[in-house]
Amino acid sequence: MDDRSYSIQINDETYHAVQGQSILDVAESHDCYIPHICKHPNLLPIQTCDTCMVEVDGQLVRACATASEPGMRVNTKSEFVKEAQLEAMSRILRNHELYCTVCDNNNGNCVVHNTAEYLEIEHQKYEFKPKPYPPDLSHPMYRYEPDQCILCGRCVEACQDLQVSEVLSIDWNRESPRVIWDNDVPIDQSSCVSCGHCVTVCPCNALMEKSMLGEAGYMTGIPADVLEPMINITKEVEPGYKEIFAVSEVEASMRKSRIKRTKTVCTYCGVGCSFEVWTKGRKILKIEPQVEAPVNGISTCVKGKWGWDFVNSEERLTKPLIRKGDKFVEASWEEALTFISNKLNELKGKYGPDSIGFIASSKCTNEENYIFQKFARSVIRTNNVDNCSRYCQSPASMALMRTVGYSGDSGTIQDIASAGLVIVVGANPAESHPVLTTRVKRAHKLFGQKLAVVDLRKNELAQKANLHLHPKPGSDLVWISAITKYIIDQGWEAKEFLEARVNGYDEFVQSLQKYTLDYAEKVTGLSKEDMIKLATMIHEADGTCILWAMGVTQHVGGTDTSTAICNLLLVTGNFGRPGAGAYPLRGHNNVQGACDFGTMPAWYPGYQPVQDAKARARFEEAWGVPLPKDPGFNNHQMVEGIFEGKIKAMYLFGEDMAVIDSNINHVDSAFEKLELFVVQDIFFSKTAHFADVVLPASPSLEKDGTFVNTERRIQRLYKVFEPLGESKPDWMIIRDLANKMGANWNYTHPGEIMAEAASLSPMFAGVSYERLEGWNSQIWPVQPDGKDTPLLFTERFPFPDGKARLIKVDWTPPMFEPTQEFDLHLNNGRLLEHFHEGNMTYKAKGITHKVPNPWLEVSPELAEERDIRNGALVRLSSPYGEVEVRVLVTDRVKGNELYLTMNTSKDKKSVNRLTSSYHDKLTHTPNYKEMGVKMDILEREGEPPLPPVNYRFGNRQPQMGVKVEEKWQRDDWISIPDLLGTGGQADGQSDFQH
Amino acid sequence: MAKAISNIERYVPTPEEEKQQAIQQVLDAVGENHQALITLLDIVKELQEIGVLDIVQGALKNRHDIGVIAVSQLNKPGMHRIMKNGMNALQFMGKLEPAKLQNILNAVDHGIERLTDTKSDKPMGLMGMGRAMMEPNVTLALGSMINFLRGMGEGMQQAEKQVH
Repeated sequence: MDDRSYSIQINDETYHAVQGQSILDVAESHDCYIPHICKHPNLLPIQTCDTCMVEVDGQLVRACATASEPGMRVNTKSEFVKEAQLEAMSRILRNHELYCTVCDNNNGNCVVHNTAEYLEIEHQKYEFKPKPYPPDLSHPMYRYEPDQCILCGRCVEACQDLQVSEVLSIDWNRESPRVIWDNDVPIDQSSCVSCGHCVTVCPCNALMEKSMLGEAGYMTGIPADVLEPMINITKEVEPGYKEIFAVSEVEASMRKSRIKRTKTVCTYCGVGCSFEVWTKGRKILKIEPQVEAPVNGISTCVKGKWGWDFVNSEERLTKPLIRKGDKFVEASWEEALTFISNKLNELKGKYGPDSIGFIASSKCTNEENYIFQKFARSVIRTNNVDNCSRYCQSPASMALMRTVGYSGDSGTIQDIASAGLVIVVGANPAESHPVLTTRVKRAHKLFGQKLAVVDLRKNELAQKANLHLHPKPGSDLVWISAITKYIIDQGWEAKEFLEARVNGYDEFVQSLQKYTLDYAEKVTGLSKEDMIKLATMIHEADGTCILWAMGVTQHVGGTDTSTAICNLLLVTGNFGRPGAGAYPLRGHNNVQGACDFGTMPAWYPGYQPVQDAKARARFEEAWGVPLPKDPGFNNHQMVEGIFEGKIKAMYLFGEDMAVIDSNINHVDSAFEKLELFVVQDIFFSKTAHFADVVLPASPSLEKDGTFVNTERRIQRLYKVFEPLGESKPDWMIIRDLANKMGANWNYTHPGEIMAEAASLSPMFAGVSYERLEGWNSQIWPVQPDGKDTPLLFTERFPFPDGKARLIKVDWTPPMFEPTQEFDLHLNNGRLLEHFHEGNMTYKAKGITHKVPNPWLEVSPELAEERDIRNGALVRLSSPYGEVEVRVLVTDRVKGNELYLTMNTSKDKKSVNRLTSSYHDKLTHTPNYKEMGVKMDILEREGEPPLPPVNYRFGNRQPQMGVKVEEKWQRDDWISIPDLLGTGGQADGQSDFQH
Repeated sequence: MAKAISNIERYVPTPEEEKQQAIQQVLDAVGENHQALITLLDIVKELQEIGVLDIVQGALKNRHDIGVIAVSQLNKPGMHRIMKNGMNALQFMGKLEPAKLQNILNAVDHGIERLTDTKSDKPMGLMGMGRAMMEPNVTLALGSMINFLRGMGEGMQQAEKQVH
């Protein structure tokens, strides 16, 4: 035992405790049950329910909020304790009718039900009184029923301090307190971001998913005019709650056979949330997050919680399609695969294997990416295989590989949460990585974490930040280098770390000479004071994490700017320690995994270079064929290769390249030249319009597999549904096509593919489906014995001498300079509510109700100058194309900087009609963020593109937690120890400051 | 040279084909379960003959109305009392020890036999009663009755306390 641990006694049993643990924590960690309702494992103590009262030295205290102390003696079972707990439970039932058997929340996990049953509540001590408020059904996805609300405040704590949307509160000062949204407006009109935290933590049925109502129970679909008298009868004749519980338990266990609960991993962003999907037949009843989920716990965002309607959409492809003349005709799998196989063989014979290009999918599993690159390399014999990381994160990956050696986040979400300082550069994680951002917002609000945001837009995190800097577009490398130089000039560099663990320091310092604060001020437009302020924040912080994304990478100098970030972190010693490091926020659920498992032109799975003879020999031996020696084409080179006549056929799965690539007018005309184009998708995507054969694939809920999230964490997803119609999981399609071409692969389950990948890649040596069972996960690199690596570089960097490398970089000015014609800067990016081109999220009615359209953000200054208002229709044109969109005037953008949301596949609104084919010089990632455009006004005003029911128009009410003190100050409240005449500290005082 | 097209010619089965497919599925199921179905049909025939099916049909067709009537009938104080008393009675039955109850019921049975015994039909008279008090069987039964009354009194006292 160290000095922070000791033992305490609970009911005469001795338990080991650690400093900082409450009595409840200690009890729970030893499977000693103390009833509690308002305390949730992912939330701080709330102290509203009082059901966890226990006796310490003759005094009643709340177990959730009383810190354990050495030698403490706790009694949880005395008559006295029982009386107090019963009183607390009775007070709760004054606010909650028990009609469990006909309640949709009676699924075995209802906290109120289970606690009341444990306490052997027999009768209603205080009469139940309905609250004078109707249920709020305004929100499309969930409801609030005040009559069932026990006022525990879990929802408020989750909203205020975990999600930190700061929308919900309890108004303790009215006669009948209730939960209110903003300053008491209907939910749909509030600033609620629909993340679902409140619904998930609700311990009863007050907040419920509408998709559950009338669906979960056998008798919950009964119409109200029958149900209400039934509830009344039950109450009138009830012989005691015990009997009610007996019946409801039987009913709850009957539900088990028809409600299936399956663990999955979210298919949207790269954060890697996992949760259960509850289904009845093909109907999704709800997404139910679990405390055990390693990344998110019970957190979700609007897409993960509600964005699954696409799976059962009528627009899903269910049969293979073959182009015949000017239309697609349905075909059998046999016909389609024979057609593709013949055509691929023919073209390969005629033009050689390198005339065929393969685009993999960051939406699909590791196993699918592995088998796809194996198909390209071993069946077709080409390295022309790439994935969509080329459009986003390749520059960050390249920068990490050349400085610290591993292309991934340095640590986990826990490191981000525990950092002293978080710097966000060129990213809007509150919308693009919402759950990860909750941990930053929480640490910033509750635990004193410092936050700096450097971004063109005043996004949500920028609004909360201690420091928000707005540099000129594309100038990040300059201020980062200037800050690095300033830190070195001040003597604040991490001398020992640099000495022991980093190469190239002296040359690097030399290369920084020109990045003086004066120079940086001139180039970036940031003031010297602000840059010094940020440098000082880094110097003073106990661990700095830098988070960056497309605002950095999608530039002509994207790799160099990413490298400058790594250099800064190296100079300040922010690698290889907890609460620090580089975090390139991966955009898709499996963009990390697609790269990890080898769908890249120069790398085999596990980042083994195709040019490395030893690595190649290993794969040749395993696959039994000679493999091509030289790296293949990347996405960009494939498109150019089509124009040059080098690429004649393409096979693409799970990627909408005709929307997502830059300069899509150019890309479209490339696709038109292909002799064979195979597109495999769940929908008839824009890209599929150009195909010769379209193959119907299955989404994540219809298959087994694994994803790797932004933390390098490998997690399993399990099949929820059978594939719809004749669609198939991508790995099966690729396997079947390979076999049609003579490969003779007999994979029957993705686990076998993972076993093969692990056996060939030292980085994944110990990865196995058995070790990944259920909520378990592994963070690569994984040793053969299964030991994983949550935090990288603690001992060495993966270079021959174990040392990191400082890399000299120079600034490449962005290719945007306002001209007379193209006078406005166009920025673009994601939205919270929609994902990518929107083909999944727009299928969710509730989400589309919140955000039905893309829009263009225009600053108030520019709107005034051009005399346009909200809803104005404008045409943006660049040398490459044009779009027509409606305007949202907002101060999130400044001056002549525009922001176009990218989540649409509508031709006339897609940002990539405007972007160019210029790219990062090292990785060929397009410079999506360096566009000059012209704005023509078509209508000066009109219907705003964003309806007023959007959270962006809400009125947030930040506060610390649920403000239980206000409850304790009410005249009608008396503390339970006072009531029982025992004193005690439960009058509101506690050891836990909120 | 493949231009973008969005025209999909879907094979849509005709209503006739869909019907044919559905009939085939039904026939397959019938083939697999013919024995059970024959038995079921026999039961259905009997139910039809005695008119049960008509009643069930009527009830199902009007299930919502009937449901509303039924619960509103049940949701009246008298019905509440019936249900509650029923449940209390059931609970009471649950508390009784079967072995003890059986002894007592056997004794009662025996008593009833004596009661209906025609031989002892003549009036007993005060003296006769006095003498009977001396009989061990009678004192045992009376003593038991008095103990029963004691217990009941105790129970009544406790109930009083709980009320206040």
